[in-house]
Amino acid sequence: MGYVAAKGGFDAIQAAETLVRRRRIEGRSSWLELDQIVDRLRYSVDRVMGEGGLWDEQLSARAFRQAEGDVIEAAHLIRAHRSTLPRFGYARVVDADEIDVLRRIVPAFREPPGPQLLGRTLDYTGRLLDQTPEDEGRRQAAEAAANRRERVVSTQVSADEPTVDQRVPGRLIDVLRNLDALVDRRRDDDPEPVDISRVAARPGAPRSARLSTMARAETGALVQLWYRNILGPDRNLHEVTLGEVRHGRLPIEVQNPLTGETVPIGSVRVTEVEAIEDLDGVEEDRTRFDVGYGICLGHNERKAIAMANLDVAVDRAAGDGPLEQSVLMTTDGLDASGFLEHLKLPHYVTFRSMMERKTAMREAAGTKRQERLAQGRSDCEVTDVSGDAGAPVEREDVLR
Amino acid sequence: MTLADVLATTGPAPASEVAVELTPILDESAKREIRRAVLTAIAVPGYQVPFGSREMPVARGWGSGGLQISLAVVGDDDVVKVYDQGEDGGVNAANLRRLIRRSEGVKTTTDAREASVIQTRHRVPEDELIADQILVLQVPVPEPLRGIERDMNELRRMHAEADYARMWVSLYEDIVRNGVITRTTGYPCLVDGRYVIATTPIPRWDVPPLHQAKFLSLFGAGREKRIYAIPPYTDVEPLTFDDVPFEVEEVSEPCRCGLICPGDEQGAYLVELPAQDGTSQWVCSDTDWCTRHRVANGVLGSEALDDADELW
Amino acid sequence: MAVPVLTGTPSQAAFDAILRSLSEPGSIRQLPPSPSPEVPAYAMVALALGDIDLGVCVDDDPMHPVALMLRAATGMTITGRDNAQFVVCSNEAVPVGNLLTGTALAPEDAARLTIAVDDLDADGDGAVVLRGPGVPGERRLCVRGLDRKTLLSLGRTSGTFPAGIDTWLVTAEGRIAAIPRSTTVTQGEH
Ligand SMILES: [Zn+2]
Repeated sequence: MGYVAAKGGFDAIQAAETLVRRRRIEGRSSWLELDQIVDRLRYSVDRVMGEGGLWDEQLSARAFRQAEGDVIEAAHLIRAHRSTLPRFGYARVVDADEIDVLRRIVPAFREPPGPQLLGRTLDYTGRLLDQTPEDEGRRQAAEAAANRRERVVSTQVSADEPTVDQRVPGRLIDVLRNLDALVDRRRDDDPEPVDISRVAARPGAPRSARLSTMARAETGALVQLWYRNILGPDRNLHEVTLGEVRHGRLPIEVQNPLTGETVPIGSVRVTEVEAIEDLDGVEEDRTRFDVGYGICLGHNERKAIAMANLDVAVDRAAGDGPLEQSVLMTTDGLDASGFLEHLKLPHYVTFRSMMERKTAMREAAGTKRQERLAQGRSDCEVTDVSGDAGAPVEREDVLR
Repeated sequence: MTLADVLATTGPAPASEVAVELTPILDESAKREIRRAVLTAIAVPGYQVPFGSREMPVARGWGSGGLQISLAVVGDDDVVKVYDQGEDGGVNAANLRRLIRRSEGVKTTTDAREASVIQTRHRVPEDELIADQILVLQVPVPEPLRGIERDMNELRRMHAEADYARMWVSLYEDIVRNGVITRTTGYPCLVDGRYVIATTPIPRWDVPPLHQAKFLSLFGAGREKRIYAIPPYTDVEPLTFDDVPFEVEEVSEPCRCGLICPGDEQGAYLVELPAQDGTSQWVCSDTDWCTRHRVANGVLGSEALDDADELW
Repeated sequence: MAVPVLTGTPSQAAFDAILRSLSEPGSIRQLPPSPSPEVPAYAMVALALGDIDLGVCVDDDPMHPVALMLRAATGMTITGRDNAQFVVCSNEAVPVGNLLTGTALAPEDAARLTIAVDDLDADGDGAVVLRGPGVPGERRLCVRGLDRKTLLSLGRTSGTFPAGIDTWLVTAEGRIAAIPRSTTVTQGEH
């Protein structure tokens, strides 16, 4: 204890950091390049950007490498980095119809207006472990790289590249609206999206806060919450059909502070989903459908689908039951894992206090028993008294 | 306004004349937001003010709320103490202390009497703090009523209407069932006769010093995005019944420094060091306080205090 | 003309005086020197705490030079006083009614009011008595250049607690005292 330990804390941290740095920098293999991570581990990079709430592939790859492949840890690095950055202003609100699709599927119709564009997906690839020998893999990669260079030189567009018309398709929701198959819950009381990095969203928050929260949520947490509502005790989801599943590029524009002109500054890749929910509630318009919306940075269809489903589920629950609070308060990866991991911190001050109350309770029970015995009552009755306290006391079951 | 102006307004705090290069971890606008929340918290003692908690270089649950408050309140002349469980050398305390130092360029100390800002997890210093000192408490769970109600809208209503009836019922049931109030740390207290707060999880031993204290207490819950405060000279009453005295943690054994809690006039909060055979030793959880007493008792040489200065 | 932006050390120093005056209502603290001649001391609270998503109102005058300065320096929007997070009064003639007070559910939605006064003293003729959190027993405060009716309308009577207005009184030299909504203001017995 005392100062030996005081200095020990610092020494221990430094030792831990040295160990981490040694493996991170030395490793036993060659240095991992950022381009490699962006190019070959793109789902991870996209998740880091989505859960970190920042679009920057190189920076996210850097975080992912530093976190040695731990997505939540990498998202933490990105968010903590965000906290140091000044905010110059806000981008113009972009219309999702401006999306330039790389992939689009509409499960609800065989031939929807616009293309069914399968694009790059794992959905129909056989989930067979690729056991190609390493040398052969390297040879194939080199060959493919050479072919790609040739293709660029000849500016030849391959047959499966979508045309411009195909790449900016109309959306199914408009078709359904024209068929008068949808309830209309478009609202105009939430024009400025809530910035959840600056405002503490709590139940009753506008829909934009809910959507932003889910867009940054941990993918697994959203999937779990979705599944719990399908199969578990919470049954806020009924019969969902996916309308749109899109992966594409959205342009980002800002207003030039001097000229007032709108200037494009780049684009972000997003996954966007519209989920059609079959309304079956007593109070609901059962002759129509409702549509939930999901969008997130990067290519992450699991997340966007869960999000779109939960969006409509929260709306249908209308503040009844815990779903909205669950979505807003329990899906953030950094919150949940940070708090879980904090249990590793020393808790001996609090534990000592808990031990003291256990002793106090035992002593109180002993005193009671003695008092009753002195009054000539049986042990049996005493037990009865302590057990007959009416409703069970709700324990302070929060973690400290 | 030009972009340069915006940059100047919102950019990270410029490193003032400090020798080391600083690594700011909060931008100026975030600091201003935290400062505004702190002010509201002081104006409405015990009310949990929501704020847009930023992600820190430490994980949520590891003092990110306390850290944000410390970063927002300290200035060049401040001397900061950070400790955890009463221990300055705790690994997390050491890490937080280093972050504050590197971000704001402040001096640090282990002596609560020398510190102008004290960030703490789970303890209030045994030293009697004085006016203008600021105690920043790291809060894992800011909501004192969560054990009896989970719905956030209902909790909000209960605080707004000072409707604490169910809290009283639960304390009453506790006594009927267990013979004592079994709340351990974070004991619920009524602040200025209006708001019930969770006293972080500090032990009950640390609750009385908060009542009509000379210092300002700021509570930061980073993960739950709430800040609350107890201004100086404010009533802090542990919730209990007239005929059920509020009990602090009792120990009849002395620490190595000679202190006993709480019979001794100058007692301290002791923690247990159990041995495999079921026997225990007891020591002060406040390590700096204990060292000073051991030096005063001649158990330790005065060089033990000098070591403190080397604490980076 | 350079915008008198307040960041880093001066910003923290101003906040420190604002914080400590509020923690101990009626105690008199000292603001750091103004960063430029166009920033009167009474504008320092709004300058140190204002941000791009907030509203400011100076003397009910949208063209007030101090309002324009605050907008340029902090990015705040100039609004009416019933909609401003920062309300600034350069003299006692300005009415201080009809401000945001927040609600029991959201006390944080209240205005912060700054009033320029001639002088502040720990006691003296016409001193008021302050009680409440931050005050050991009672504390006297003598304010010159603010009519008594306004002074008595501050603190606890500015709203139904926890709603209400937090007020800072500032002299031209940057001496500052606060009367938060938790403070009860009564007549001294002089
Ligand atoms: Zn000791």
